[in-house]
Amino acid sequence: MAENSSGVFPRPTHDEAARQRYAMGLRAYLFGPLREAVGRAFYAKVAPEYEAREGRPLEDRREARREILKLPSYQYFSDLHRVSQDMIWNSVIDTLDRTEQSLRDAYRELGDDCDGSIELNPDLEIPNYISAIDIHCMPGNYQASSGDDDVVAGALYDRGGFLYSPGGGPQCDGMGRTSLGFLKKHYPDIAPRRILDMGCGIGGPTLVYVDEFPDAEVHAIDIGAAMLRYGHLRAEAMGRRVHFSQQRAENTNFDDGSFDLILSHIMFHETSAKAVQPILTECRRLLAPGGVMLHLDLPKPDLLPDVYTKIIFDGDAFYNNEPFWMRMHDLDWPGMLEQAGFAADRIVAGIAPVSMFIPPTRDNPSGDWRPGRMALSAIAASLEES
Amino acid sequence: MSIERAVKGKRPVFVAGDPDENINRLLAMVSALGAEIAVLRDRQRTLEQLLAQRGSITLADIEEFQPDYEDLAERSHWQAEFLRRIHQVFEREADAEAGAAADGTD
Repeated sequence: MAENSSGVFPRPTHDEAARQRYAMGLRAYLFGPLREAVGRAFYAKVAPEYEAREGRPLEDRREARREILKLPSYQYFSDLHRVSQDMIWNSVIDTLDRTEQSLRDAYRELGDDCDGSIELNPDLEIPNYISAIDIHCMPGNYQASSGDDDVVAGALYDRGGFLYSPGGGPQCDGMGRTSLGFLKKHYPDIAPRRILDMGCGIGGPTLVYVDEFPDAEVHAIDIGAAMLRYGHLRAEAMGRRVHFSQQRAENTNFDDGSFDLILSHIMFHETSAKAVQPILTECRRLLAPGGVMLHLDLPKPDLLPDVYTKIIFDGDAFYNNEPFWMRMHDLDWPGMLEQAGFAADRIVAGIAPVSMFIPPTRDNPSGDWRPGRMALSAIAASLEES
Repeated sequence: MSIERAVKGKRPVFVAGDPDENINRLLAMVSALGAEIAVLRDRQRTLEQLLAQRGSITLADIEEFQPDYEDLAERSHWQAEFLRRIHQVFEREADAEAGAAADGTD
């Protein structure tokens, strides 16, 4: 298992590390060999039986989900999926229960002598799409915070996120690398001076942009106080300057035209149908002439290769507390961008191949990044120079 | 233990004929036991390696032991096979579902 080199996440004991590796391994097993075995049963039994009965192929993902739910092997796969999800978070909480105070102390010791900054708003109203459920089944969700030095939610997300998706890399920077690849392809000359990362979490993708545009002033917002504290602690430990603030993307306190690059990474699918338009309108307000915004999110179902893969993705949406994941794609995104004030001919909707982390080996001790098989949906828009 | 571990949101249960969610609980228990066996196996491997390298060791040696990449790869290989052995019954179930349909014996 690649270690977390930010140096902020506390070192697990021998047995905690073994438990975390097991949680990661269980997920890899479920979404590897067992998923394939269930897929064979789906194509040999569920799909042909449906076609024989209904007289048409089983192609609609909603119908396919209803059908596969009757398959015992899928039922066990799904129960185990939830078990593995709980195991991931619990294995990380073991370490944090033991080390929480040292993390709080480290945050307090930061004080004001920092490269970057953090501004929290204890009165911020947490949106109901966040407070209604624990997304990804992460206990306490993004907004849990007790006391003014709590960083647990961020630490939990940092390590748990890596165990869930090791391809994102031990520094949670895979999404940032993925969006940067798309940005460079479509806007090769971009040289932003002020950057905003929305729904930044612990700032994993944000730091990619700090490194890529060292002269830019980088701001990052999220609703979770403990996520932001941990992100701040981490950025300072890694020597990266970021200005974190606790704000909702629908309504920020930045001036009109503050930024020439606005980003989000897999944020929208954790909002709601009602939130999308206000966020896009806010992006338009915040963009300066010549500015670019880029939002990456989970792939549209029609980008997925076959109906079984769609069912597996759907399963995450329904059973891993991601209620908006699939419905997000039913919205008219270009229409909403136009309504927000972006010109139709300056909108780019495409796909961004995901950068995947390849774990270290003896010959390559820092690991490596390669284009993975999966791609995300990307939507971007730019404003004309004034 | 003080950090919240309960998850907000309805817990889904899938296995048919498990209205009281007992199979679901058993799956969680068996999975947790699997993890503990893997943790023991890991610790034993660390012990064996340290003993082979040094002859005598302290508790701190074990706690501070950091497997190198090759060792991690071997541990992860063992774990993948272990996971398959534990869950083989579900893979067989899926194979039987596929096979029964292909034979027309379902």
